[in-house]
Amino acid sequence: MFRYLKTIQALCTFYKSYCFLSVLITFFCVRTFWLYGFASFAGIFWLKILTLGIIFFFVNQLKKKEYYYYRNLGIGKTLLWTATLLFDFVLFVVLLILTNQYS
Amino acid sequence: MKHVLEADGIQLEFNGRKILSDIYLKCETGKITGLLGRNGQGKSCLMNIIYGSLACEKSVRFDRISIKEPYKRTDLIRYLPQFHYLPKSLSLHRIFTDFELEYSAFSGRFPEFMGKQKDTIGRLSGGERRLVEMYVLVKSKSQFVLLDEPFTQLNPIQIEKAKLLLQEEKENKGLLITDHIYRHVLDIADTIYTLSQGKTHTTKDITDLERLGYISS
Repeated sequence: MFRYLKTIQALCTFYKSYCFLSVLITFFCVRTFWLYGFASFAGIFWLKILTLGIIFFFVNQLKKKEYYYYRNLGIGKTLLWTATLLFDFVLFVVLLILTNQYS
Repeated sequence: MKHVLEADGIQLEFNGRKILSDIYLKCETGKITGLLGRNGQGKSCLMNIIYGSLACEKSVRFDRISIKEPYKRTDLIRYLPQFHYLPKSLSLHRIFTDFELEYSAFSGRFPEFMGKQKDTIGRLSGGERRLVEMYVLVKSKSQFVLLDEPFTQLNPIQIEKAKLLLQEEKENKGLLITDHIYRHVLDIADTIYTLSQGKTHTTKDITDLERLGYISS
């Protein structure tokens, strides 16, 4: 149990390194969706995908030395990126669904 | 119980240039194994290959069992790279919790860190940072630890204390160490390998280092 909590804590630390920018883009997309509805869906979807790709490229360069901290805790690069990108994208989708329901 | 780490069958090339080709390295718990070699001979690459963070043709065995990505097994191996690897934003308290270590034992050994557990690692000097980075890995629960230039940025007093720490901790694990300050490695290592022209050479004394061109005669 302690090990899982430690892994989640480490994933949160890694996610913090890019969450500000990513969540900001998510809120921009959600606001656009709220204003223009499904007509804007394709645009914001691809904007989110593209910006995640750019974030991955730059963070991967900037944080490559820190991967050894995570590896020394038994967390590989694949798990770091898969878990945090998945969380970020699920957050994006959930916020879009909620916006659709309440707009 | 004694544990053995062996690496061989390693083939590493960059742009058609062979970096590592004839490697045999054995590291045992209860011993410090030194790895020497001039710049560009592939010491760090070899450590990364053993650790599993650099993919190539290889055979890395722990107690004769081949493991492809050893870094996923923190009970088996940990690796100190030659650069700062801890995120600057982490507090010393958090780092020691992550590696399941007591901060008080560390500050007892290194009194200059007394009362600094709430500080972030980014606020420390290069030498202090290096010392924390080395300590948490050397003291962590793992059979083997690979140390790539652990004495970089440490002052002479810290180096002596670090050497003492390594000699104490070898009772609990196997240590593979490389450093350009080769005299420190020679002081504490039980077995020495020298990397030259892509091959490992068992090295007994300083005359072997001269013969292999690592130091001038």
